[in-house]
Amino acid sequence: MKSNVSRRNFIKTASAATGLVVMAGRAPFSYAQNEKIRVGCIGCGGQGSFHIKDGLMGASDIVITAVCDAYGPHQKLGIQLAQISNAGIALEPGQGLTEEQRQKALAAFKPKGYYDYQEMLAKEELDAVVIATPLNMHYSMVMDSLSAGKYVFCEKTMCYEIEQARDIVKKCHETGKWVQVGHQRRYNPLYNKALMMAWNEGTIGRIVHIDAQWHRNNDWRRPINKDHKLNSQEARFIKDLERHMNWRLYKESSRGLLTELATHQVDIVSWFLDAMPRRVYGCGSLDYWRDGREIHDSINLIYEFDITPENRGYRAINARSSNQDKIAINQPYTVQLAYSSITANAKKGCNELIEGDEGAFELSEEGGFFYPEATSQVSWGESSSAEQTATVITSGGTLKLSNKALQEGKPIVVDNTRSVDQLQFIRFAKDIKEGGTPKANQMVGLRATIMALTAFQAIEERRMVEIDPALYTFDFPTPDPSVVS
Amino acid sequence: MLDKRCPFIIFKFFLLLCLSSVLYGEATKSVTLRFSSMGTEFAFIIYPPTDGMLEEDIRNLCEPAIEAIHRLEKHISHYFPDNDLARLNQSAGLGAVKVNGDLFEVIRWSKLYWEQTDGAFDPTVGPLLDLWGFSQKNRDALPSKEEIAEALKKVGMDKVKVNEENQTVELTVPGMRLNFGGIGKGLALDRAARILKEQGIKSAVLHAGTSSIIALDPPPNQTGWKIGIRSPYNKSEQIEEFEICNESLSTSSVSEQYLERNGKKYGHIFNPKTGLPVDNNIVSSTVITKSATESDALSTSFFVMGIDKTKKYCNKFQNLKVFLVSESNNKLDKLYINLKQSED
Repeated sequence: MKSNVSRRNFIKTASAATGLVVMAGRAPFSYAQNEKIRVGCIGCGGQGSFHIKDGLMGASDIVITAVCDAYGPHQKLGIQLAQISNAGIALEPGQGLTEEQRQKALAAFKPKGYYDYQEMLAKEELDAVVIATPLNMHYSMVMDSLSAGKYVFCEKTMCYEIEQARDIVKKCHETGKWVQVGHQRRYNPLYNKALMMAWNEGTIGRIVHIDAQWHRNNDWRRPINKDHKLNSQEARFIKDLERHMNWRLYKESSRGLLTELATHQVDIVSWFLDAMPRRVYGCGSLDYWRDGREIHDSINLIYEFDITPENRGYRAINARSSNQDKIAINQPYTVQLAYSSITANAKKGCNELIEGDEGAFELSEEGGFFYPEATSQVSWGESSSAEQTATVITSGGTLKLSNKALQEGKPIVVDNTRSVDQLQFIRFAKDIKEGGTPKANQMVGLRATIMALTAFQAIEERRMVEIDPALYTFDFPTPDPSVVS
Repeated sequence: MLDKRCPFIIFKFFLLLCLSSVLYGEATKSVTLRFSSMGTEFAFIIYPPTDGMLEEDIRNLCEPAIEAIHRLEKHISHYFPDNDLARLNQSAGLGAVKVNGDLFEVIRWSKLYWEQTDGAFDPTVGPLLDLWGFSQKNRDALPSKEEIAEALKKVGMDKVKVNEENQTVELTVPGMRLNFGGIGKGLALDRAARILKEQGIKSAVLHAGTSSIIALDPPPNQTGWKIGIRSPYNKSEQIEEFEICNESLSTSSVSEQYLERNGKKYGHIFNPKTGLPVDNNIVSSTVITKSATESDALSTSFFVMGIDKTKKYCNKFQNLKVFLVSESNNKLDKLYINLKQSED
């Protein structure tokens, strides 16, 4: 059966509910201004349902026309949330719908639910899919979606293996489609502003080191409904509900802290430096949460980035000391990223401290600060005899310290009226309609995959791992991994 | 009579001129190094002792002086909740306390200027600042006579006992406390200037928040460092200018910190004897002398002492140059002691 979510069917419902018009629009620029992108959501668990009720809800150019989840309760929840999302209703945490909202949701398009994503791809007329499933499932879902001519949003990390990520880049090249990966910080105005301050204004000078961490204090488990009996449809895809729900904790489905947490922040560093690391050192262990999980509950990594003038993160410096070699100081240099993630202490939380010779940015999804360097400031006078005869100081009552606020950190102010999840899906729809390139495109996904998996290898093999540039080099044009806006 | 050596002498003279223009001419640049300490910004303006010095060379050259200021700050500043000064203040009324050498030195200097100024310089006025709401914005009303009398019991360097042998200090009255805001920056500059000289710097001027300044040798080809004096009512207006060389200059001004109660302004400088903010028409007091510790302490003291007592003091200690500005009928009157009015 070819879809009860056909264009005609959807137009009828959507027009009645919202007065909007939807057209087929498979190629960029063929979309009318008020057309909606038809999206199928694959995976309606924690992250998938979050996208439905926040990011996709906030993207008015998107309508969810199908949802897919192999776990029945999640699929049912996905359908409900998608209908609310299609009605443009923002759910407040802990609050139900008002009667007016309920009526509005009922009038909105109700997506069909699927257990099997391939069936959904075959039966539905979709422009794009949103994949929020366990890491080891990304590859086949992305590849099949691209083959079906869909644009893809895939949760980070893009792939479980580096070769899989390379295949996806090749598939994008073949199909002319792209993949946007859920490195949402790339859409965060704070990170974009800080990047512009670093690159264009030189606010923190040359980046010399980065400290980043994601420290939390919980077992990272999702609760299981032990009374749930798998039906025949679910049983086709789910062998063990515990391993299915807590996929992040098992090596067969995840690389743990590396692919689920570190990859966000390591990607940011790569973005700021406009470079890939050349080598990674790592160690990790499973010591605290001995509850049957297999992945590390504590990791420490050092990445080394070689920076040359070709990298937008490169910054020339002036000699500060007469002992410095004035030519050598601006030759290629190395920047180290020290990263840690632990699961039994949350004091340091999650942030990135990007340290330059003139200041530092402390960035997190909650906000950002600029700290100028507290060392003494040296400034040279004009080479003029007039200077020598001028009044050098005017004396009076003691002037109070004027830079106290700076020492405490100056907030980096940005417009945060929309959530970052909304911003990334608004841009997702816009890039589909206008033929744009996602900021977090498949090359960003590949590079983050490489950084996570080489670190995993360094930990597992207890050695330094060289990162061969051939891993992210192709003999065809690839999207820019450092798009900024 | 001209002899055969004359052309050679003339040549040597020109050579000397050329050399001096290389050393001190257009190419000579000053460099300013700024940093924060003692709740204000310090600046060293120096002419590098050798050519080709860069930022880090300057910083390395000045670092020992900066460290000395920070070290002093750590021991004598009231901004630190757990330093020697804080411990001494907390022990008021509880007996003698052995203190760090830096703190001991600033207490000794304070005792000296307290004695020489007949109590006008007094670092124990903290309880009065509290009472009037300067240190904490905790009250809007003027204090009563009884409250002032009660606060005055905790004021006076005579209530601070110093034991030179044991290097101990005792604040004899509970609630007393010391605050070296009127002398600490001067002491810091004296120390920094000495260290910079040891580092080979000859031409320099240093200041702490612009209120305390110490000058070494003048800029190349100059006779001194030109220091302007700000109007007490308008920070951007300069009312006088003096030239200093191997001297210190400190200015106290009432306008920078004041409270307004019932339409009247009260400055932050107190008469330690009356417990009242100084109200003798003095609005600015500048002292030039050899030591910044002295100029710092005396600029505050003369503010308290007023014109007549300041004149007497200067008759006794003749090394002082003083510039007092008083206000009457919305007009500023300037008094110069051992100083000349600058030419406009």
